[in-house]
Amino acid sequence: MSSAGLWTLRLVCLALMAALPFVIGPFWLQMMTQALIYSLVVFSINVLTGFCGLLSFGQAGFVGAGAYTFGVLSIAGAPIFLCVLAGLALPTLLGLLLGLPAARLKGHYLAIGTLGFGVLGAQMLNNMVDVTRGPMGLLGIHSVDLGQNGWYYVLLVISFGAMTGLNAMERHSFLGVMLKSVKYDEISAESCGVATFGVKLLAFCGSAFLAGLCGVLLAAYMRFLTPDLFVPTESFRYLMIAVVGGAGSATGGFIASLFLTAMPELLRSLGETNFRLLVYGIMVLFVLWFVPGGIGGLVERVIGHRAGTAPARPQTDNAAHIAAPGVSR
Amino acid sequence: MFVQIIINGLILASTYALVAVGLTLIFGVMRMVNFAEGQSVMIGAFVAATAAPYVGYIPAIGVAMMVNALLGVVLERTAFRPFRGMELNGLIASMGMSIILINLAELIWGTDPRPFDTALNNISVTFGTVGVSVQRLVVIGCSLGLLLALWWLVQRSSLGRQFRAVSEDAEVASTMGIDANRIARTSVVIGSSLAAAAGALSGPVNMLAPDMGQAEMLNAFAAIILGGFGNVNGTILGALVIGMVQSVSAVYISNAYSNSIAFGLLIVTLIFFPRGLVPERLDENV
Repeated sequence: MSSAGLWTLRLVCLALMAALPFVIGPFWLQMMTQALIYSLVVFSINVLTGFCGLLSFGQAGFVGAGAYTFGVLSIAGAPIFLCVLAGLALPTLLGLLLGLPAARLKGHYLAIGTLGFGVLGAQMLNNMVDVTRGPMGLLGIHSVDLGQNGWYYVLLVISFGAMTGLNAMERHSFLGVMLKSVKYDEISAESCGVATFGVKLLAFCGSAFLAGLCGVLLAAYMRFLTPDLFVPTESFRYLMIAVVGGAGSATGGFIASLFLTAMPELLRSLGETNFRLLVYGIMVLFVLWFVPGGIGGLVERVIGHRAGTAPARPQTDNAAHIAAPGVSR
Repeated sequence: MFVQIIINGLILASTYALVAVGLTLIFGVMRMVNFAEGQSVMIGAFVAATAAPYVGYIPAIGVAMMVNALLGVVLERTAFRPFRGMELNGLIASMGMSIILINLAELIWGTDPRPFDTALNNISVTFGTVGVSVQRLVVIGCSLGLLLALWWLVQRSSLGRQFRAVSEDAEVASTMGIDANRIARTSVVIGSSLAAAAGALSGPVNMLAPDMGQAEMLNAFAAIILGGFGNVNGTILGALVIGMVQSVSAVYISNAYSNSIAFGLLIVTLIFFPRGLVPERLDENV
């Protein structure tokens, strides 16, 4: 599809999304608004895992840091722009601090190291009762009053903007090439003069910033926080959404976060029991079985090939071992 | 007090070790992480609790291990074999399976936490001044037995040689006539039944709930990383360190932060030993 056609498609999608408040009821609008907020943390995984190939099990820690910084400061009476600024700065700083040791770790060591960060973050939110009020939850957060429709449109613009920006960065900027060079072959990237440590650190900071933005918006929209929202299980859920959407595709991440947030509610017609979550799990498996590239891969296949900036995916050494001739599927 | 701390540490360590060794075995053979291992612990505990009134506690552990062996076959077929060479998708698939298992358990056994009482809980032996229930000693003894059996299996048996061959190099192993798929299936079966044993053994010490097992799995991850991935001996060492640190810090520092202290220790270790205490041999090809 041509560039103009692609833009038309995007605008049509945006217009359809913008018409949504006139079609669906308040409950579903609230659902969609939350899904738009969570799409930002999915983008943060796109940056770190999808573009740069670094697996993170600790994204909920960044979201929690952003949300609680905003919440605690706003209850203390700080002006709102200061709350937002601090809520974005702290996760970014944490991303830098975590990235310094984590960028030297490989594969599963990195994943579990970031999981450690997530566990630490969740336990601190739960136990620092004098700051975060712990399990009692943080009530009475002040934020701007936009009304339900207002919030929906603001978040739609932010989320859509972030998605378009990330897509452009991935495909048309040198930064995107550098990030992906680290993912596909770190040693070759280094020998071509890419400062892999710096690129990884940048990916960590950028990812933490996006996750922090998600946290700030979550706190400002919901005005009520509990530590349960930021436990490691949530990090796993974000990762699941990102992979179902296709880890390297922000478009897929956007669609998957809308879809997977709404799905458990849509399945309510099956009954109130755990049966619907059972079906949800099975659907995730089905997507993974039959659409290995995720929703993003499917979208790309439908609208035609993307601009050829991405190198063909080489097989990593592990993959080569596993895909041995004798090992049939 | 001191004996109590040691016993508690050993109980934690033996549960973590059973879970972690299973995870390591699966990782070694398939280079994939089984995220449903925590739910295997939970299913094992519930099956044992259901079977115990009919067959007695110790046979119930065996029943749980057998049920989970079947579960392992299903897991390998649904969440591992379709995703060879696609680690991330396999990871998410096992997460999907864990969602399915949690909700299946809630459908079968309900959502309320329930106690798992065994006769052994009420008998205690005294060491000097402290009384320790026989159940706690059974946990430690049985885990030690299972770990020794696994050690024998991996190091001394023909099956173990095939395991080690596949984890060394799956391609060469399969040209030597080793059925890599069979080895992969066996690894999930063993890992899943060890998790069942962990659940059935630690169940009576704690409460049973469908969301249990998550903490065991997270701590088992920490133990694996501390010991170096894919290395059974290092994993057991890691589990021992994590269990003891948690038990000591729960008494002397803070119970609420005991997980944080274990993971804090893990992060500090990773800063100085980026590949764990017993590094895995890893060749990087350009």
